[in-house]
Amino acid sequence: MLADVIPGLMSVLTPTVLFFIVFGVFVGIIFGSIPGLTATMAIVMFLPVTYTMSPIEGVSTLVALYVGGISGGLIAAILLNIPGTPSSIATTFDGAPMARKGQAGKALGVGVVFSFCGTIVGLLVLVLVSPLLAMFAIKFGPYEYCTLALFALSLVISLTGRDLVKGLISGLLGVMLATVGLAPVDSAKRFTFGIVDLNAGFSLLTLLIGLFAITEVIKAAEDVRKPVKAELETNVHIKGFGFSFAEFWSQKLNMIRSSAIGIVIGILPGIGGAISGMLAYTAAKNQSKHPEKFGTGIMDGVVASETANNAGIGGAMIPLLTLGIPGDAATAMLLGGLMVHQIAPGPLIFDKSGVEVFGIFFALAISAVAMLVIELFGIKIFIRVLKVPKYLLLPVIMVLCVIGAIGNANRMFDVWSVMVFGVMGYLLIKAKIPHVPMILGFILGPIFELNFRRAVQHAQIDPTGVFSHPIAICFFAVTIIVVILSLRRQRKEAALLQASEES
Amino acid sequence: MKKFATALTFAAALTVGAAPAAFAEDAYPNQTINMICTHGAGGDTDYNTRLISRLLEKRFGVSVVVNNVTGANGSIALTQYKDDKTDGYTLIGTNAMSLASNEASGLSDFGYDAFEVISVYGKQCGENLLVRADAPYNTLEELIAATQKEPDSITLGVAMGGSSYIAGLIMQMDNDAKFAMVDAGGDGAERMTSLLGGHIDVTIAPYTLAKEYIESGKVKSLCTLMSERLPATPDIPTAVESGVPNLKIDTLYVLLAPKGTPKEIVDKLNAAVLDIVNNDPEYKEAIMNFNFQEPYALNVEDSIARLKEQREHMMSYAKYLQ
Amino acid sequence: MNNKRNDLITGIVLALFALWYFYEALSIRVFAGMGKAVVNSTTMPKIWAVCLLLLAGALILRSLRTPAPKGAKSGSFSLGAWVKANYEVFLTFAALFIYAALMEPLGFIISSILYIFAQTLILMDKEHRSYVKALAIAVVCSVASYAVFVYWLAVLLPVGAIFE
Repeated sequence: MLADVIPGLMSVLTPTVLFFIVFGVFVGIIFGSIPGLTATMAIVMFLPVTYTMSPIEGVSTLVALYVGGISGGLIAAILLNIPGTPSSIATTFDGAPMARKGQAGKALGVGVVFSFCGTIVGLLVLVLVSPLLAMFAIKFGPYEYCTLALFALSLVISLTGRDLVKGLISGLLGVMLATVGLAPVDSAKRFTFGIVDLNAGFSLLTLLIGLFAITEVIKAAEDVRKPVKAELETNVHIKGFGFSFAEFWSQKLNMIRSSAIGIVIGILPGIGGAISGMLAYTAAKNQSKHPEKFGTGIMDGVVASETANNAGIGGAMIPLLTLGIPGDAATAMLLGGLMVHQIAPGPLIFDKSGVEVFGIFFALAISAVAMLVIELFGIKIFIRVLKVPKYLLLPVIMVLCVIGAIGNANRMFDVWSVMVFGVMGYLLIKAKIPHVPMILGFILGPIFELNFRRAVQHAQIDPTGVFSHPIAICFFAVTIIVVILSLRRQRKEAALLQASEES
Repeated sequence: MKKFATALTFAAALTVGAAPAAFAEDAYPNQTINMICTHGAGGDTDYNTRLISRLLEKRFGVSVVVNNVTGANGSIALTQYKDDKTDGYTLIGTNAMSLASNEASGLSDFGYDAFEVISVYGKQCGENLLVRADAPYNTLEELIAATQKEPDSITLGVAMGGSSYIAGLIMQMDNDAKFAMVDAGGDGAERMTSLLGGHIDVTIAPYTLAKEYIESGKVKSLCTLMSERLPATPDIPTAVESGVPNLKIDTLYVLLAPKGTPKEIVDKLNAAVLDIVNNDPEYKEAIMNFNFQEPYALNVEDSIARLKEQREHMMSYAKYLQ
Repeated sequence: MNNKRNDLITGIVLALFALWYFYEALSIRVFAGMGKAVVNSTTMPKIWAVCLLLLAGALILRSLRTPAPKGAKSGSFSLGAWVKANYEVFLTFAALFIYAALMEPLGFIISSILYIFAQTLILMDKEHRSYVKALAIAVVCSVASYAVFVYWLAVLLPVGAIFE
């Protein structure tokens, strides 16, 4: 196996492959950074092109698109307060406030550097212990996923802000929206009212555009006649990474924890970067010495989210390569890309396609470096976006979002969903109901229901079977503890906020 | 892009050797053909659609652009495009199993006859009935006997309402097998993982996915559900040979055109497809490498007959699917 | 609108939604093959609906218990007044929906030009208002994005029924 390392490296170190990697990362960053266009879409659009390339060229291009796309989301999240991709939702929590405080350059620098760190940690884990972790992944059955989804849903309490009732309402609305379409397990049509397009349900992308992009346009519309606030001086000329080594070093624990979360969520198929970012964010907040500062624009939040979502790339590659199970839509395309080039994922992949596998590892590493370099140089350009007046920027972004909505599944229905979700997002703001729990509910609700129903099927066959699933029991216990703790914390926070508002 | 080499088209039409009599159809195709793929990028339906499109493009000298219109097992795209323009520039690439099972399960209210059938042009390498390597049974007969000894305890992981579920039903009804059927996901890879993780005892997944695990000695294939043995795996018996005569599930790839597309265009496309599938070495190599497929294509009449047969087979289980 | 009334209305709307959702969940057709299963496709939706109903109830109760803030306006809500105070918001939503509606008949390019032009003018404050600038951006961005996505990336953007 080790004999394949050098040929693997050599296969990547050719001018064409290097060109495709840099090109892929660049295109990925563009797709990631434009709200409405995602990493997945970049891969979908380029997948057919890679069919005709050589295996290592094709797969390297796809990996590069993936890395660039996941990381690029942070740019829009920080500068526009609109997550460029679902993975960067949690980046908006502190990234956007940092930009409002005039620290956009620093926020971008932090995001880029920790994206890089996350990718590299994920890659190292992928290279060193993937067979072991793959064994861990297959131990996850219905009981485990069901309790894990429950655990992740309990995040709603931590992410809700001061009004618990409204946070829970938002989460529930998300879960209910996700029930539209074909039911998990038996594909019964639910809430489709005979409309064929509803059979496929709503896509996360349209909900994201409606809740985050349209509401930004509406905010700008509300501000048109408001007196212009003093122009914030944004430091365009940042030096180096925009932050000091001491600041970097202070995040080491946060980085390790967030990487671990990102990798674990990445390994488990079907959960995705959006959840891992939010999970890492809450973990960082709950273990911080100054949790009250989260959400006001501190780098810890950006670090947690960006490290986790990029570490998830390496994580998601583990089941992809060793088991042939894709973790999310983007890796599902990668799987297609591998199969086309006769790289059959599975237990024998190291024996049969060792050179290609190491080629992929090196392609991933080079993509990470390319991403770091392109984005660091790009910061100075990206940051100029803040100088572009909103009235010129937002309409164009809306059009790109609409293209993204159409490109998602090539149908007009998704454009209408975006518009309706936009109205819903506006009404929610007016009702002071937060948006983020809704996204959580929307992603996790179906995972929970699917696995809950499967678990019940298993329990009906073997009623005592649940006791042979220690991981599930652990998750359940942890969920209960976390719910109690975060309820107490939430109460304290709400009281503090109340007090500070009244004084 | 649109006015792309009419001369080339003529040349292509001649080489195809199926020059139709009508004048208008002589010019076909002389602009970009939109190929709608009903399933997502990266899957087997997508790959087959894109491969045949690329080779048709070469042959006709016009662009054949593939777009994936996804959702609800292909039923969104099929509904949206079944009554599209009939000029032969909108075509649909799908798999016949989705077409038939969507109708049988009530997901859509139409079948193959809502379209003009161009060709059944490919056959998947077949679903296999899989157990872990340490399982005590080596043949389908032994497995069924084991389920009868201990009813409702051996779990068969299927996709509820999918072809694997129908396979389970056939075994229960025809051979009195007593599986405990549980849902293990619509994706074959997901079912494989459940099997490996010990969450289910038996499952059904395409040979492509199982191959690596069979070779590494983690999983055994008891039989293939195809009607005939796969040439690449002569040792794996069919379910029919193993005593379940009705257990035949072939996933066929099919090209369709909106209802009312002129027969001349359909014939011309069919002739081109048949020629590519049967005579193009590039095609043969690509499908073998991707999916262990053998070239398999039918003319229009045989395609319709094959789809009709599959539809009737599926519809006979419709009441268990709704 | 003050918080108290805001929450009350939200609570009532959500409660009605939960009831309707529950009612709709009753009519979901249960898969025949699931004969013995205790949990089917209607189970979770019903549970979600009950949870939402409870939360909406909590919201209503809470708003009834909070004393009305002193000096709060008790004027009635009128749509006319809202539109007047927020006409940019109203226009933005109108522009978005008209954009979606025009997309298929007029095609992507023309509808996008119209939308960007309109939206830019809506968002421009008086001192920056420039029709030329808005139009230029609208045309350039619409045509460029159409070219990139249709010709390079093969996305099916609507061509427009009027051109066919």
